[in-house]
Amino acid sequence: MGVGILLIVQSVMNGFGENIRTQLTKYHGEIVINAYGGLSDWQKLLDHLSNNDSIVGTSPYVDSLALLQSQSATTFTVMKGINPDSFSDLFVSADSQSNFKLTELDDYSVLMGIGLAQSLNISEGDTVSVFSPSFIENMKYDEVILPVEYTVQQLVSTGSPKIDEKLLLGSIRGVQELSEYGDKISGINLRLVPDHNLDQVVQEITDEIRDLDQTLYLSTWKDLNKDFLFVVEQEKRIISFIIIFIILVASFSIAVALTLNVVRKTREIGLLCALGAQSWQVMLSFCCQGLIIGLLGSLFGMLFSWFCLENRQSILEIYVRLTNSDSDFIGVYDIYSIPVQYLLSDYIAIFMLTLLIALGASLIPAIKASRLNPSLALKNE
Amino acid sequence: MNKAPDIVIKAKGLTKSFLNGTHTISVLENLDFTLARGESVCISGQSGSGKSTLLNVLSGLEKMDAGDLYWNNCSVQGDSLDTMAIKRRGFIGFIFQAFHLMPDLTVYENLLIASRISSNGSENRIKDEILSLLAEVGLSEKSDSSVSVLSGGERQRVAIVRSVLNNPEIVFADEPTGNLDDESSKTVFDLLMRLTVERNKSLIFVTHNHSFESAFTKSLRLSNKTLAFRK
Repeated sequence: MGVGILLIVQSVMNGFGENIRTQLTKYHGEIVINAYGGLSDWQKLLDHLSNNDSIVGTSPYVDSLALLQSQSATTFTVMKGINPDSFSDLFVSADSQSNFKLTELDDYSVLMGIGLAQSLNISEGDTVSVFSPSFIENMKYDEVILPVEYTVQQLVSTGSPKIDEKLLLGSIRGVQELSEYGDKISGINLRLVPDHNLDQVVQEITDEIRDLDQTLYLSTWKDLNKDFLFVVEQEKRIISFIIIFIILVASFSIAVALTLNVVRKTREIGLLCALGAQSWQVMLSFCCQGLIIGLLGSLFGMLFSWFCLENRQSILEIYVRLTNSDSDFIGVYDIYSIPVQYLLSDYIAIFMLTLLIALGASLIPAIKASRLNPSLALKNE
Repeated sequence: MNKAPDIVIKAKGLTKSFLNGTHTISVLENLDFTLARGESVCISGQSGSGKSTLLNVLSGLEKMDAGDLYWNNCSVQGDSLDTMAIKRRGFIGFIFQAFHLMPDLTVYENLLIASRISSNGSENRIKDEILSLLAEVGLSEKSDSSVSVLSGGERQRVAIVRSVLNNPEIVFADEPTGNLDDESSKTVFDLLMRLTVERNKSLIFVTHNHSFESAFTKSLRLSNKTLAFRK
């Protein structure tokens, strides 16, 4: 049970980390290049970046604070203007019921996250009114500000509730006009090759762009979610630390079971000695017994964890039903369902740890068995 | 000129006592014992007289307090219990009153364990040897049976096979018929004599049953912490 629970915790926490990485990089890419005051000569930068083999996709964007108004609600968000052709390299899986293609996005249509659409009570095909802070800056006395009307072409789900609650995508030109940004952009999202070394690529790009523009700076997806990733990592450590005690309790059980076995098998131990077995051979037989218990425990624990993880949604539903709670609580972790990532290294480490603990637990009874006086052991009733 | 008998086990001045709380109970005192190759000895005595202790000390299962012990004319007095365990393989076979078979194992497995501890022979050779001995004691059919389903007589026959399996020079039989009825006792005794004495192995047989005494080379009685001849 201890092995199983430890593996479940490790795999789910790994899944959280992987899920966060996937969702965040899906929307922002692995690296974002920004510049203080905006990027003006960004085409030149794009050309420069195209020479880097680690980069497989680049997407310029403009973002602007926006006040959204529907017929029933009003909310603030950051509207992001994208280049549909290049953004599709990053934004790989927009789930939607409509047949709208990202490349059909024009200056007066938007894609909206399902969370944001819910808060505004908007469906695909509806219009949303958008006000920009620049309107207020340029407003003259006695003027009425008219919002820009956008058609919501598609509702999208990125897999991250946090992103979906704020997601509003328009074209670059549309957002540039809205925010009066001119030809400037806010930054460039970069997607990297799958097996990249993030730190190394960051260093390479930093070296490459240093001479182009001193105001440029890079942020990785890890930088952007540093606090959240830290919390998840700490949770993983603390839960693992607690669960190790379950394994230690199991090791006591092994020690007790083996000690009882020594008592139960005292005559057999005496017999083995009479037949010519040396004390180390008696000791070895009990250590082997401990190892076999550890081995079987590990294997059953792995099977148990695999079964639970593969059926996690059903188990969650049963838990929610039994406790009359709401499964939305997992949204706290910015996910819609429990993620899992199986790591071979976790399995190997836990397997070795369990064998070590089982072996340690068997040592005391094994030493006790090896020190039995054969003649007294044979008399044991 | 007569050839000197080949002594397989010899104890001189053997002394053994036990601590019972603060009291020391002396069991064997300055006891001498000699056993020649092919010789069979019957040792009798009252319960608690120290017969089993004598066997344990002679076989190296227990250390003596004082005295000298020789196996095949080599002193084993200074040897550790582990060293004696190694020397015991192929030298001494045991038969116990309570059989001491492993109840969770089959007849064959019980014998295989004994063989594996003592010899490095091939699996096939060991198997042939076990099956041949089982045939000799009439237990061929029971080879794959659990020992827990065997009768007392059958269990003791398995124990006899185990004791001679590695062709030891001496067999120590500690009241092997003590838990058996008269008929089974006779069968077991006859088998034991056939597989040991008739094959020129030495035998130390501890018993209360004096009806077997006549079959032994010499009969000794353990009383007052020492051995005395009965015949």
